[in-house]
Amino acid sequence: MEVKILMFAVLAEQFGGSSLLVEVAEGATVADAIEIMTDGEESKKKWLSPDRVAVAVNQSYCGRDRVLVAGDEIALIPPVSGG
Amino acid sequence: MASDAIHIETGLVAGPVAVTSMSWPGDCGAESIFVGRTRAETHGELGALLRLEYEVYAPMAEKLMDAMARETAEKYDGRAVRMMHANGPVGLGEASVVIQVATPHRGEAFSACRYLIDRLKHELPIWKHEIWEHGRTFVEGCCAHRDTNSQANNSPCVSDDHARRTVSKTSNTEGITT
Repeated sequence: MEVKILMFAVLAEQFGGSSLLVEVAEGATVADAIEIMTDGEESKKKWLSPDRVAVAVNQSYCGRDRVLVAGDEIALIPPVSGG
Repeated sequence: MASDAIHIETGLVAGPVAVTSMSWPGDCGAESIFVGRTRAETHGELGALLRLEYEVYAPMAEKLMDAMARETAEKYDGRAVRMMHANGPVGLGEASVVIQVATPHRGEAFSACRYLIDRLKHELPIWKHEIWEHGRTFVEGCCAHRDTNSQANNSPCVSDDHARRTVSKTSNTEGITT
């Protein structure tokens, strides 16, 4: 099934775009989708470490153990700086 | 207090924001207003700050702003809450965020305003880009709020006072002539 991943600010710059589509298996989690989008490369994974990047699915914050369904929109949220 | 008596207004604006008169609740004697403005700064290598540009994950930010405003009204007996944030360029001295809270008495109004700006800074998916004379930087402030008990998500937020800057790979050619 296909899910959409959105990236913002420094992540969009590092990954060369603000969105991409990822094919994941049924029952996959957010963590699985992140693993696929980084191809398991440490240089990419370091930008997405859980201690600095929060995740949201369908506009709500959640954990990376969240199970995905087809069409979900995952947002990778680097440290925020509103205000 | 009936919930339908509470006036809530939140939203994103494509540029600077401004204070406006709220629909005034007759039983309120206090309105507290917070305005966040672009501060003039000089970067050691990139020169003077020209403006900020805000990037926003709009659908999520709009939902969160409405929820935060309603929770603030509930927590502080607020009868009117207005919170607007810029989504786009904001020049020096211009306002990027406005918060207005009306309550029966002043104590709650001050507290509610502080509570709301602190939550905004910790939770809203908004990113500040600094446009200098000779380059761009990202401001990395708070590790965003997590509403989960997942073990991977228990890291503390970074204080606003310790915000980091990351220099953008994109050079700022337009800035030099602005």
